[in-house]
Amino acid sequence: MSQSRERLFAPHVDSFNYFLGPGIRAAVNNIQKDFVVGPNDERLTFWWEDPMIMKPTKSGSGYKDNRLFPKTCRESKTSYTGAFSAQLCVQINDNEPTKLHRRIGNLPIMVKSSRCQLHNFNAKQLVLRGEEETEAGGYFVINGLEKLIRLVIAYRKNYPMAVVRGAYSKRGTRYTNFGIQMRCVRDDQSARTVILHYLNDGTSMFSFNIRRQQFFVSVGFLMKALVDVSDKQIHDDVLVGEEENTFFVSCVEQILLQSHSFGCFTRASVLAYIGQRFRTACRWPPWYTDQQCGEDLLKEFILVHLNTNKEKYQMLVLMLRKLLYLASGRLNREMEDSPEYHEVLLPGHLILNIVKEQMTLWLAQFRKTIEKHLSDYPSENVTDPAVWKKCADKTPNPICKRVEYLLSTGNVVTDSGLDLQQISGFSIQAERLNFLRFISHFRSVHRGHFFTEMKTTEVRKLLPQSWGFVCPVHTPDGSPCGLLNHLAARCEIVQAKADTDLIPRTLVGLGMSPAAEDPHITADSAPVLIDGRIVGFLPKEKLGEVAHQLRYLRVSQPHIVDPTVEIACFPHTQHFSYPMIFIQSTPARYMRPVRFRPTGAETFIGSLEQSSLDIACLPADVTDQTVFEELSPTSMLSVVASLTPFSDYNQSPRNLYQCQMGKQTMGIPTHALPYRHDGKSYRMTHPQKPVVRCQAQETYSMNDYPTGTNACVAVISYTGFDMEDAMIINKSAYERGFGHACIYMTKEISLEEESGRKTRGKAEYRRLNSQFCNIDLSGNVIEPRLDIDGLPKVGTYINEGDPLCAFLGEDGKPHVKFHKGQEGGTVEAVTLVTTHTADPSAKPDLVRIRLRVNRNPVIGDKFSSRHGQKGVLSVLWQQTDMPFTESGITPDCIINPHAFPSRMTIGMMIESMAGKAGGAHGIFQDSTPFEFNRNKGTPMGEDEKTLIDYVGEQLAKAGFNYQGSEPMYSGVSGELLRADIFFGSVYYQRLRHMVSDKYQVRTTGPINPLTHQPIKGRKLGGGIRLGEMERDSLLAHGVSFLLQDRLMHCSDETEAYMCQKCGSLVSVIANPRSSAEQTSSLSRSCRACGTGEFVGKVRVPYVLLYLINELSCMNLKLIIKASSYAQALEDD
Amino acid sequence: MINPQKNDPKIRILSCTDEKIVFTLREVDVSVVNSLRRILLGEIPSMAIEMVEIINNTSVLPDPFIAHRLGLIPLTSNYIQDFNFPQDCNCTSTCDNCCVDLQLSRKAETEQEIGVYSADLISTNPRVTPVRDPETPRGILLLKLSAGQQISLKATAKKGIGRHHAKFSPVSCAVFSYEPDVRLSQAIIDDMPANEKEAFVTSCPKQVFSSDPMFSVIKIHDQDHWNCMFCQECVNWAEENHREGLVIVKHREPNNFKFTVESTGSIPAAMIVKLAIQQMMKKLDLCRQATDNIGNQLTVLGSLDGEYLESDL
Repeated sequence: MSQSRERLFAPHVDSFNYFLGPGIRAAVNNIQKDFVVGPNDERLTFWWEDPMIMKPTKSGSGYKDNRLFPKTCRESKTSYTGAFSAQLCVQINDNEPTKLHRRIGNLPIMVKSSRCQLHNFNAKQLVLRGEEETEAGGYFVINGLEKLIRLVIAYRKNYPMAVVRGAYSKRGTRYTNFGIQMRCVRDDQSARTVILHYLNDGTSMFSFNIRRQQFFVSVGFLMKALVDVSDKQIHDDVLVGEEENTFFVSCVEQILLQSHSFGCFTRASVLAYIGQRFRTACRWPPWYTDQQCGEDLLKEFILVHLNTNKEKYQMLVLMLRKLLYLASGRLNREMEDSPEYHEVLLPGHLILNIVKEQMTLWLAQFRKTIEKHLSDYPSENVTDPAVWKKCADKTPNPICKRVEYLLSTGNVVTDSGLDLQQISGFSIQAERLNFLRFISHFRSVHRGHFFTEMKTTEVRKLLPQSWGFVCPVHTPDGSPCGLLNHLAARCEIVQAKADTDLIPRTLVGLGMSPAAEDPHITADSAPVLIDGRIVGFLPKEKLGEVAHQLRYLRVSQPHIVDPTVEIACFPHTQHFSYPMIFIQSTPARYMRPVRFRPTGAETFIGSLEQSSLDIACLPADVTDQTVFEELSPTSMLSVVASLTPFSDYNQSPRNLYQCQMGKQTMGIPTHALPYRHDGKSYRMTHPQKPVVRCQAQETYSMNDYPTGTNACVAVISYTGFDMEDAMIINKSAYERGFGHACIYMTKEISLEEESGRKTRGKAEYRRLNSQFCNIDLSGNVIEPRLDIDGLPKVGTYINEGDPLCAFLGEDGKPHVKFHKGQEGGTVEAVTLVTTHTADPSAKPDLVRIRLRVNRNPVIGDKFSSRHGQKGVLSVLWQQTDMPFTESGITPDCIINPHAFPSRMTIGMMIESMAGKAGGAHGIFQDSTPFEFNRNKGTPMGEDEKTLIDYVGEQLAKAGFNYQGSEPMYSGVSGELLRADIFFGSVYYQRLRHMVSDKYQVRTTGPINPLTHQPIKGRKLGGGIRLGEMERDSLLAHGVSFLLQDRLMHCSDETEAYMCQKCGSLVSVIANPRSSAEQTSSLSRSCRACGTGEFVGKVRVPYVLLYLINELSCMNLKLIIKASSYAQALEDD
Repeated sequence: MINPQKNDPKIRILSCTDEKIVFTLREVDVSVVNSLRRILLGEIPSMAIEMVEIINNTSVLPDPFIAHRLGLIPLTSNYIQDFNFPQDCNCTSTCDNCCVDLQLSRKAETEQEIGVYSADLISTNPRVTPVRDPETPRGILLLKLSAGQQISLKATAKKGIGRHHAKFSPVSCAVFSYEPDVRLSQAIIDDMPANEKEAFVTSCPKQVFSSDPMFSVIKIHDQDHWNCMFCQECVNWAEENHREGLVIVKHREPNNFKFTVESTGSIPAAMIVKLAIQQMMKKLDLCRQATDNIGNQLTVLGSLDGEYLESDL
């Protein structure tokens, strides 16, 4: 399989591999130890060690090969999970800790990750295991479904971002919009976002979260808590270079003044003060001193990416300075919506965070269990291993369940919030409708659930900063537009933290004064940060040069500066930005390859780095100063967008539509169809390689999964059947296989569900008595149309109402399941599955019957070219009646010329010409956008051919008209048509929207029991609502009988009895039938009038009766004046 | 309208092989030529597989897919006249007069992947077999079988026409074109410099015009005008280069047509044309019978109410 295609899945697979390896180890090491103190002051300390995740295996013993493969899980609707275990270490006082191996549960394993059984399998082995030959994994199998965790945007790690946000001013009195936000992330990917707020009175508050609750600390106070620092020192550190600036000076004075108001003047007293205040919020053990609590708070919540308090202090100074610059208007706000300040939340990191939190919570729960146990049984001793082992067994263990829950529902269950922006919508199903859709799931990046409800469109805007990282074309139209984006094809997500140990030394060599050695900082110094840690200071004017040196090293000396390290430089020449060099090596950042001209090598650049770089897009843009050059102008496009031929000639929304429609086409979804049991999968029977294709088609081996056919398309208005985006298909072309397709539907019958027992997912399991069988207990055949095993024969055609399977129920009674649904199909395969592998004697309890339903084109089915030009089949036209060219070619399909002027899909016209020339010469045509003439000195030189000329000449050489049009003869009369017809070969896709899935008919059918009106819904045989507007238009036409027919006769017309005297419909009752009366009809009388004289039969809508009943319940009487009849009564 | 004065058709065969026949039709109306084309495409019967009974199919391709491919295989139909249409046949279901049975049975015995070709279809009637030619003796590739896979089926070929299904059409191409009348103005040509002449000659994608290497004379060789496809490139060139009137492209009057028929191989091309003309005659006979009948009835009417007829007509 193509290496480049496998790379597309890398963000998922690699991040999960990180979780399995270094991630889980780092997280478990970072989990705080927990304690229990017994009555005799003996202390029990416990923590986790040595996490282990195993490859999935079958439960139960007696297997020669107990490996569990994803195919088995898909088949049996179970989850692909591996055993997760760890050592629970328990230490009594200061004795040697006891290690207890505990099996934590079964953790879902990502397919093709390093703990997947398919890891390192070659194509042949994969096929042997019922997988795709080119399976790249990246998803989980949960209850038989393929689920993946979608990439969600998070803010860039450890970057102090200058933010102006209206919501900040609502945090309290004097709060302003200004703030410095920083998402601090530890090595184990757990994050804590902190904000430094600017207040109107010149002070500043530092805010952080504890269990989703926000807390504020005065920044001066916090500085004093971090290090032993004098007011003078703070004053000097913050005011470097701004000593004369009265705004800065007064602010610092205010901050220092505020820090005094708490009456604490030493670091110890400040820590104790803070520790005491946060004691309840942080739930520290009671024996902690206030000062210890304070220390712990700083460690756990304040700037957690930094290890020492001195570093934290320095960072805080930088943040404060940046905030003051922002507040004084000398610094521009940084756009939070720009990809510069974004990275992605990777699946592995999310799972790691959840597992870490759950393991921490388990320890807390374990503590509670022991405490409860001790209070319940005061005689028992906590140091007794039997006691705490029992407690460990009693402690509920939801760790792996939470991960499985996340994958199946997309919801995160969390106590601390995990610094996430949302708690739901994380998982999606990896549908294999076609390969483009499948691949897009793995490349999609969501902005976050929060933004979907935002009224402003600011976040949805396409920013120039996203060039090369996020595709400008591939986003859905409609509500998720701009929020659900897709990564550019060559954009990569950094997976591992690079080693940056050698960088500081190199920087010192380049003139940096290291921060660790109390550098002399002047007005001219600019900080150098590595992963959010200040490593030193450089003279401002040297920033650009040093950055260039580092970038040179990144290419030439990868062992010093790793290729995945991002070197963002904000030079002092750049106005309104805070001058610094920001070096980042952390994972989850966007990076993309460009050419580094000094060496000519490819190098990766990051999104923050990119915005201060001059990158030549075309060769014509290159000057002597150019350092970076794009590999290709198509670098900005996603995989799906880069497959659109000549997309640079199309009006841009059309390319966007094609990205949507490409994902809805029927094609070859997977080659492992016989081994899969998707509810519905679509397959085209005669797909082709496109004659006109982009380079990406080859790069990503898209020809393995074709999505359409090359069709001869004539652009004429012929017969009138091609109006309004309808298209005519040549009946003979159809008969020869054009657009032929089928769908596979899987019908499932689970005996477990049929027996009313759902043991799946629960620990206890009882063997089922029921079994698939076609012979009942007395030896009779249950259903003669089925095979002896109670299942249909492969190859039989099953219509609606035909039996699908027969089985004996729990009670031994025979049951037959019938095929519901309007469409019949051929039985392609029957799969019997035993879902409980743990029980070796269990009989098959699940059958999956795959039906193949023929879906050859019918009138109303949808087709589209690759240029957002969709249309429906309006008629199959006889070949004899189709227009023909001089060489005897009749078009496969006809589209209307009106499809072009307003949509301006010139790319489709060029594709038509290029396809024709390609067909005539027997060559595949390259349609990569921006590629033609790219390498010429100027974009479109005087003597250079245009693309149209190039294709035109090819056509002329093949004996066609230069412009791609041809004279055509009418198939009906044989006369030459007056106009030349644009005729060529276009790759046509068949979309999955088919009439057979959508048609809805009803004469009579089910009704709503309350209103007696027809119900809605196609599946239920309901009707289509004739609503108010439809009613209005019928009124306007004056078709009152039609209206009455629709709204009364075909709806809820009913017969009712009314008393004309009192005008009531509810007071009429039927008289009790006396035995003497033999008449069939009952006599009725009005209870209000006491007589049946005026009772008459009326036909009214049933809802009217219902309304009158409802009103009478509220003591409202509704009278119908039957005036003409009343008149008649009076006359009498 | 058919012009009675010029209705004197002449046919001249330019080339003729089993696969392809090219002929000209002179002095005939376009309606006649088009009728011939439509009959060729839609109404000449041939044999094609209509029913497939799959006995065993362990290949990767689904049954209907294979059945569809089988249907499109051309079968030799030289003796098509001897067969009845299934709906006209006297038999109750199938008989030798309307149907031909074919059988296919292949298995990949070895590790080697094998191809199943149309020539593997064994017919019960030697007159109706899958078309083969010396270049591709095994015929058309139907499907491939990998180790251990098997296909075995029975197929029934029936007689049908292309209008009902494209597989019955014995022609892969049936097309005519008007004879072009390309006229050059010698006066303007003489006026043109050599480079302009060259540009004009190359403006035609079909190489209708020819010239000597020095581009002094521009000529249209004997049969070269037939190449013209009325694309008007030369006329456009003349207009763009201010040489109006240099060339005129029209249909030749009276209409002459070049007709090309390519056979799928089921029936020799010449025979298809003969059959088509027979078919056309049959249709015209029906038409004449109908008009005769109506005429007779009108005479009867006239004798009954002559006055009314006379005044009204």
